[in-house]
Amino acid sequence: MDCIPRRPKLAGPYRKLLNSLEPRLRLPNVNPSIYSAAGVGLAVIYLFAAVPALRMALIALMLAADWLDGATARRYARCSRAGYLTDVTADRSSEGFIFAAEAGTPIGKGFFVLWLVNVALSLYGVRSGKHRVLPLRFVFLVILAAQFALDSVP
Amino acid sequence: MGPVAHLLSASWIAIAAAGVSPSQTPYIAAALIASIAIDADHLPFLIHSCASFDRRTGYTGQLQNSRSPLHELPGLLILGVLCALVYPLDAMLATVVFIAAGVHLAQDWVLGTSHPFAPFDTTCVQFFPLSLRQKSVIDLAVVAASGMLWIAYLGVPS
Repeated sequence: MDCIPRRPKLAGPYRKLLNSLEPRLRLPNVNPSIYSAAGVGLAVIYLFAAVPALRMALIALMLAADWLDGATARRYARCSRAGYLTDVTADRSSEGFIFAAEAGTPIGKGFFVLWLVNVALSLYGVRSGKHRVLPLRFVFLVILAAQFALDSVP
Repeated sequence: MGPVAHLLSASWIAIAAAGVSPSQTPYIAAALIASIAIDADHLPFLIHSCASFDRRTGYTGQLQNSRSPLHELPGLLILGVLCALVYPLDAMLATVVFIAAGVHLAQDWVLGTSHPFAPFDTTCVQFFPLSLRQKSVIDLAVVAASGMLWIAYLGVPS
């Protein structure tokens, strides 16, 4: 595990929850980048998704793929700096496509600007050795779910 | 991925996702240019490295050395900032250019060898160790699929 930037303490409880679930997962011993590439592919599909439920499902799948990528690397001792960089590159790409697709809405515009900040933070994180990113997809999924729930109320 | 595959696939994804109609030719032209323009940074390398050209494989396996930071995450950041500035003036142009160029970069990262964090970190990143044959098959499949999608989009009978 050569020089993987440290994660902030703020993400501790979230990481703790995921780490407690990880041992229960049945993970195939495959190249973890398969999940990262799948995340990018799902983000390209997101560009064409018009239905809110489909958009939420795609973001949820992207988050799951991101988690499986790290979980597989940890389970089969495949953690490396190149793997970390692969993961971050795939995450920033998929976020870029999601928020480009949402740029027509006021919330989407705001998230696109935050995505630009996130790319800059990723570059800074790699340079400084501190993993500092905003969980934009997660927050956006929560907002989409809240909007969907409000719209469903008669 | 080869230039023809980039040109056909990235530009089609951009115009289809942005909802550009076949009559909006300026946006189609913008998508075509944006899908390939990033590869201009290979030109100095190609001109200066004629000696390393192989008749059978071309420059395959060497082009990651000719990528400038504009072909990596800093390039995506600059592209995003420029498109965010253009968006209030012409939303469709900004969307088409961002998606076309972004898809090109993503294709290069996923299917090739790159240094996504250059110049801050020059660690070599490769999602999949693909052979020349596998890359050629993927290239051909992408050209065939996106060519058919272009034909369907333009309404030309096949």
